[in-house]
Order: sequence, then structure tokens, then C-alpha cells
Amino acid sequence: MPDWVVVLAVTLAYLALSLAVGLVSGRKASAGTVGYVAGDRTLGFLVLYFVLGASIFSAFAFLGGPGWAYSRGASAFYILSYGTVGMVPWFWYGPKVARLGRRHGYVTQAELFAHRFRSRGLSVVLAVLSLVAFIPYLTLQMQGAGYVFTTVTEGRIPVWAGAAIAYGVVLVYVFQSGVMGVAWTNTLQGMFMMALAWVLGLYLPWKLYGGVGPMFEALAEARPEMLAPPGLTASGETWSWGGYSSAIAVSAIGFSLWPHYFMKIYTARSVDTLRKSVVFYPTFQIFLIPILFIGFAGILRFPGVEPADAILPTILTSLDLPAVVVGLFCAGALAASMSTGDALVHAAAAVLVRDGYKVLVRPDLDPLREARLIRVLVVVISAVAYYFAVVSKVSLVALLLLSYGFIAQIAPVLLATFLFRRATTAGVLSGLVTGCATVVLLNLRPELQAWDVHPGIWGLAVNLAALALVSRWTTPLPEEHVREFVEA
Amino acid sequence: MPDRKRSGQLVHRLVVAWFVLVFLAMVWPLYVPMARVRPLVLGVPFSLAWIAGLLIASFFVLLGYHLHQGRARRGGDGDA
Repeated sequence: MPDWVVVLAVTLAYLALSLAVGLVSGRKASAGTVGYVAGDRTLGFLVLYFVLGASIFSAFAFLGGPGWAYSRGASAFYILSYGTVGMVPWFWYGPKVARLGRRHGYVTQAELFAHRFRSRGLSVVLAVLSLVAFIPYLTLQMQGAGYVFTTVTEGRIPVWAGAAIAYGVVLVYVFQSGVMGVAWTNTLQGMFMMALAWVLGLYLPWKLYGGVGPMFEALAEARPEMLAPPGLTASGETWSWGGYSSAIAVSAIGFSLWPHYFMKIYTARSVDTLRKSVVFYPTFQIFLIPILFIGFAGILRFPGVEPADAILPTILTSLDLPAVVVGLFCAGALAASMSTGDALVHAAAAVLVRDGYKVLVRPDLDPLREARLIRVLVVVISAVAYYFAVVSKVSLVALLLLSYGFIAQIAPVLLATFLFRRATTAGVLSGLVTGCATVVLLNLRPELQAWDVHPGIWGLAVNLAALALVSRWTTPLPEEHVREFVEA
Repeated sequence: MPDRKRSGQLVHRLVVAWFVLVFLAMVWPLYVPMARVRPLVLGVPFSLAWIAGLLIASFFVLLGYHLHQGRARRGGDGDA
């Protein structure tokens, strides 16, 4: 039997297992929105831990992480750095969000903020912001999945068909089981990714150099510039400290604020479960280290691989590994893509209905119809992302770059919700709008970025200044209303 | 009881200060002296070992804080 058939069989077997887990897991959830979007707020520690880990570790981590280490050296350390502190704020604000969510029935991020600031406009702005950030992110996950299938079958299955197979599975289990399907498949995918990352990350340096130490010794001799932060830019020049440090800052600030991620706070069974998941999060984060080893392993032994993200499949197919092992790798890459993609599809549909349609058109929508509408939008959003992934020639990379800057602009809204009693609706909205406008402007005119600092950081500065100034000149919300949030 | 509350607040502030320091230790300018290849620590460049060390230390700091909070709650101190 040809190797590619074995590899494809292993990959399809993994997909079948994901589908089975996804379908079975949703059977106990209630039929309404809280069941479909927040899993009836019943997720325990283990599942929540894997949801948090696997949702963040996307196709970017599994293929892009080694690609960064391979082509840009130590600049890839920024991925490890921002995760070290990015999750920690949840430890403090997560329990507040969870308590308020139970009390008022929130299932999305914007519901909390819109309630705090009594603003439908804020809800709609956040819904638009979420979608602008989600679609390119989801599109990349689909392209990653399609790329895995093409590699596995040596080009016999094109990207469009691969993306359709993987995201067909995602669509079925998200449609049927909602967040419970996302949660339990993420548990399976998370365990699989972690095991694979450690095995590959330690095996490849051993196979190619005799160990991790000898690999870095060889690199330190031959290519020391690849090991010294801030590393290199995509064009091979030395990255600036301003660019490196601000990339860490903007990613750390936005890390826990991604709406699909934030929504998982509402799924926790208890405050203690939530805190415990945050505490143990670094045990997931540390798996990025072997992921980076894979990229470093390729620098001296496989020079000139293009695109750099192909370094892992290139190494694996060059080593004469058993087809089953290569198949497991492909399944791991699919797991990384799907575990992020499913959460994005599910969250995007919920946000559109709860923060857009329900707020603007049908405030009286009952939970059962709402859940049905979210399911319909799961299909629509998957189709739109699929179109961008395989049909449209429009590049979404620029939009993706914007999205990180945009998400960071939610941080002042969060601070205002829980800490700034004097913050007003006009203040928060003007901060959000001016902050995002600054991000757009600086992306369009990069020469205006002083010291190479990320546009998101400048956006935050403008955002906070507008929030403070406008809040000072406008009427604050009633004290008893604000107290519920500040003292939650 | 107020003493316990004060000590809880002090621990809270120390933990927050720790994470602010960790962030600063990974960016310019505090990270610059650590951004070097040698000595290799357990086979990895010093610059990477530094970040990994901060990640592991932060795990234990937050774990300790979580356990401390649990004890404080059991002692009737509320959410420290």
C-alpha cells in the first residue's frame, strides 16, 4: 500500500474520532442558548483547561511556530513570552465575569460591556469588531487544514477539498453539539497536540544532531544571530527591540480578550474551576518550547525551505519515518487548526445573534429560536470563511494584522467595567473607535509608527486618553448600577 | 481578622508586582542583558531558558497564590 494512503487513513481515522466525540458530547446540554453557547455553565477543570489551551494553539502555533523559529530565529520567543503573562488577568477578572454572567445570563463578551455601559451601540461595535477579527483568523485555519491534506496525499487532494473535509467535520459537531462539542473535541485535540509536540520536538533534534544541546551548540557556532533576541524580521534583517517588545505587549494585552476565548469564562462550573484552569495554563504554554525546537532543527540541515511554515512537513517527509507516524503528525496539525476553528465558528455565530440581531432587531427572541438561529449562522459563517479560504483571491493577511491591534482595544473597556467608576458610555465608545481608527491609520501608514512600536500600542494610548477625557466631560452612570460591576 | 485581610491584600499586591516584573523582564530594556546565547542552560540558549524559567516560576507563584486564597477562604476571610 502506498505511504500516502496509510497517512491519509490515519488522518481520516482521527477525523472520525473527533466527529464521534463532538457528536456524543452535546447530548446532555439543554436545548436553549445557555446550553448551546455556554454549555449550561458546567465545564469542569480538565475540559476547561484543554479548551483554553487548544483554542489558542492554532494552525499558527503548530506550523507557524516552527516556521518562525526556522526563518526568524529568536524572534519566535515572543510567542512564548506573551503567553507567560497573557492569561494571568483571567485569574482576577474571570471570576467577576463568571459571577455576573450567571446572575444576568450573559453568554458573550459584549453582553457584559453593553450592560455595564447601558449601550446597544457598544454591543454592535463589539460584534463588528469580533467578526472583523474572526473571519481572517478562521480563514487561515481552514487554509492550514487544506494544506495538511495536500501534503498528506502528495497533492492528490487539493487545498479546497482538504479544507472542506476537515471543516465539514467541524461544521457537523459544532452545529449539533455547540460549545460542548467544541470543549470535548478540544480536550481530545489538546492531549494529542501536547503529546505530539513533545515527541517531535525532542525526537527531531536527537535524530538530526544527537540532542537538543548539540543542536543549539551547532547553531551557536554557525548561526549565532538566530539565537539572540530580538531575532530577525520576515525579510531577514534584525528585528528592532521596539517591534519585538511591543509585539509581546499587544499580544499579552489582547490574549485573554479574544471574544471566542473570553466567552469560555461563562462555561466554567465554578469560580474555583476557572482559577485552577488559569493556574495550570502554563503547563500547556510550555509545549511551545519543543514546537520551537522543531524549527531550529531545520535551520542547518534543511536550508532554503519555502515557505518557512513548511519546515515541519519537509523534515518529516525527508526522514523516512513510518507512514503511520507521518499520519499522526498530520492529524496533530489538523487538531491545531480545528481546535481553534471550531471555537471561532461557534463564537462568531453566537456573537452575531446575541450582540447584533437580538440587540437591533428582535430583543424578544426566545432561547430555543435563538439557538436555532445560531446554528444556521454556524453554517453561514463556515461558508463565508471557506469562500475566503479557497475561492476568493482577496488577501486577508492585512486584516489579520489589524485584528490583533483591534482586539487589544477591548482592554480599556474591560478596565472601565471593573475599575473606573467614572467611565461613561460616551467615553468607552469614543476610546474604542479612536483606538481602532489609530490602528487602521498606522497600518496604512507604517512610516508613522515611531520606534517601530506596534500600532495596537499607539491605539491603546489614544483609546485610554479619549476614554479619560470624554468620561470626564460626560454624565456618569448611576452609582448603584456601577457598584454591581466594580464590586462583583 | 483585619490583620488577615491586610496580609491577604499584601500577598495580592506582591503577586501583581511579580507579574508586572515578569512582563518587564521579557521586553526591552530589562531583557536586553539576558538576550544572549551563552551560557546554554540545559542545552538551550540563555535567552530562551530565561523566558522558560519565568514561565515555570510564574506557574508556581500563581499556584501558591491560589492555595493561599483557598486557605484564606476556608478561614472565613472571603475572597482575599
